[in-house]
Amino acid sequence: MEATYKAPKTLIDTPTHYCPGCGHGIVHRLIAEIIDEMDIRGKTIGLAPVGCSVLAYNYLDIDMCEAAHGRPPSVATGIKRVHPDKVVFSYQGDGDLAAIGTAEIIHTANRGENITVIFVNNAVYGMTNGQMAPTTLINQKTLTTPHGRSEKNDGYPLPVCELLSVIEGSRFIARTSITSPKNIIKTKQLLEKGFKTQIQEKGFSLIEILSPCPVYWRMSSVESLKFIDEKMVKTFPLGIFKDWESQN
Amino acid sequence: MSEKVILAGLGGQGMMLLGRLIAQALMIEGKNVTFFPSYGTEVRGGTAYYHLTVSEEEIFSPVIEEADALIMMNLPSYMKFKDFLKPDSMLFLNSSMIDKIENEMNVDVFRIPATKIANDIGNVVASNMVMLGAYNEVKNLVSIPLFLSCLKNVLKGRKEPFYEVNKLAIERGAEFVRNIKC
Amino acid sequence: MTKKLLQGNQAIALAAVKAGLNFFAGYPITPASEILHELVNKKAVKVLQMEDEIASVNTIIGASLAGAKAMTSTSGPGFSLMQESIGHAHMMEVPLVIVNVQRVGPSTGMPTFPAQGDIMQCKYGSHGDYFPIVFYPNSVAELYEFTFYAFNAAEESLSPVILLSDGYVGHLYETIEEADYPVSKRTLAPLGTSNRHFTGLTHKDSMPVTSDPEVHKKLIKHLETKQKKVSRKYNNYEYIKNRSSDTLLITYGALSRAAYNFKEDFAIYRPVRIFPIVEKIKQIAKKYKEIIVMEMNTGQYANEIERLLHREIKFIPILGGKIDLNEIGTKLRRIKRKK
Repeated sequence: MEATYKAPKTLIDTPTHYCPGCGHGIVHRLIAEIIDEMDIRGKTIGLAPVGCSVLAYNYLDIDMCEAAHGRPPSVATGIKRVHPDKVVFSYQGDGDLAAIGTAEIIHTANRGENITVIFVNNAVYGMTNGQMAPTTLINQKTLTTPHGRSEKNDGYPLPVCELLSVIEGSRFIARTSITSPKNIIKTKQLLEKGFKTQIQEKGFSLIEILSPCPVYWRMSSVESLKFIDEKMVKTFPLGIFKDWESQN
Repeated sequence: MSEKVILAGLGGQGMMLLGRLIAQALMIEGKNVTFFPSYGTEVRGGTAYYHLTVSEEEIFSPVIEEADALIMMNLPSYMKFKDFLKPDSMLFLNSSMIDKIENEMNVDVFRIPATKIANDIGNVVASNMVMLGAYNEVKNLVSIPLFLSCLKNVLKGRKEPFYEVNKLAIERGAEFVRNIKC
Repeated sequence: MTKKLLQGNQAIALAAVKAGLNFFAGYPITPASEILHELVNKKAVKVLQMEDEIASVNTIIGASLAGAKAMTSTSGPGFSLMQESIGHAHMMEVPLVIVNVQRVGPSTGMPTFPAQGDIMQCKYGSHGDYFPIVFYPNSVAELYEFTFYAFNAAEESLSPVILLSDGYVGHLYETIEEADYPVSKRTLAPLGTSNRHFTGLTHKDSMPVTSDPEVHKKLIKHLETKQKKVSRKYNNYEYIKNRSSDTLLITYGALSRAAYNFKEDFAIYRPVRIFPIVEKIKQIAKKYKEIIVMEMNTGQYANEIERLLHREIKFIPILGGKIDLNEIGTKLRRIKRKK
């Protein structure tokens, strides 16, 4: 019988450390599939952040380097400038990218650095017990916003794609989610487009993925998917914010 | 031989170039040189001063406590550094900008209207080179052609058109001092 | 060999290029900016002006892992910002050269005035245990020479090497002989060649092991042994004997230039590799009844020396960025009289 479905070669066969219902596993797999399909495993270098996905190199069988908290775009810049022929991507969470690393991501986009950024937004700090993230929704309860995030005290959820899309140096900016097979397929297409943007030397690309964190949202897996579809997308609308292909 | 000189002026009066030219020329002559620039947080408009030490011997600290010569381009500079004079020091003043001083130490003073001379030959910025010419004429440190070749090196490319006026300024400075000496 | 009149900062830039530098990222800061200014004109070096020092050090970490010889330069405030990533680079064993041209602190302090206030920051600035190699030359010619050694030591130890300077030597013009020193080659295979992982987590065979104390102990021991072994190649110090004196004056960097004026009265010991401390000081110190450490801070190196020698030492702080022979002379005489 012919195998119609196989685990991607780039994905290491190992027990996961991610919590039940977490979105990271799906995103890891999508990356592994794309690397296989594009046949770029030998020349892809990934940057892991500090956060839940700090252990991304446990799952992806490619060259990977962890950066200090918030700094993957800078380390990626150094690598890419030395090796323009390699495919360099950073994998970052909302704390890494949108809090401590805000300066890095903005300036890296602004330099039009030819790298791909995969931004996993789950609106909470998962690794450190569920504190507020810059992307936590208004009224969303977290460990540090026990009565819900208030705009008065904590400000507003930070719209990363909207911010980066107005920066001249960015080329492909999109937001997607992984709440359904349809959305997962869409996410894969957008990630492919991100890698393609880099390989064709078009410049900076970032794909924001709304991803569930059932444990720190205090929800079941199903409820957390619903939370994304019904609540999160209102603050963080899905779509393509900037696309070099439709710009000319 | 050993010579410790403090050069000071307004930031932008070209003390840096003046000091570097002397240091460069004396280095070529085989002397040990140190040239120590110092300035406040403000680069433009504040007093910029430089310690230049030349010696046959190894130079330890490039910081000068007592100077053999002061080259002062404006009054605030002179006020700041007059205490560095000793009885046998020589004082070179840009008299276009320093009117009267009390010569407390009774040192040899050379008043050179550097700004005026530079202005007369067409470029006020060359006042530093007038002072260089005057200082070198008195101290007899280096041959003028050596200074000129160092100057040529510094004024390469975009700055090349300024060579002639700077050369003239050095000569006029030397000439001015020769005339007061006679 | 050509003689050149160069500023300390320019000498570092010139030597760095000769030592094989091909990637520089930095952020302008007084009194270190001239290094950046020099390097932007060098064809052999890719130069990026970054948004801050954190991005600078992380970018050179990336560049170095990708196979480039990489450097950044800064002063105290920027060096503070880099500390987290310096520890990260020690843990991932990334060869880097970080130049710190010290100025008076804390905080913005006196930007154009020299100080030696970053001695502890060099050794203990990041968290956790690491064993940095730190050089602190005291002349333009020595800055030129030790830039080569800094690059070589970085390659040999696979660690970030600190080249300390200060606003005094950094801006000072002196003559150098434009010599070529031997250059160590990169031994580390670059990222993108062999499925390699680099992590700041405690690791074994480049994969994280975050709950086994034995793995961590072994890793730290490895780092320490490696750094000590490489640093032995660079036992650089200067010792000016003085048989007529029972007192050894320990001083380094800019300030040691002024101390030479007192070599009739004291024996002088000047470490150039200031960390790990050159062990020779233990032997030399035995010959003297009295030891004085003089430095431009409130006792940072003095404490380290005291700890190493297990004996009381006297200490002279020179603060405020001014190196004044009269002040130094008075303080030295006073301390001699007291005993």
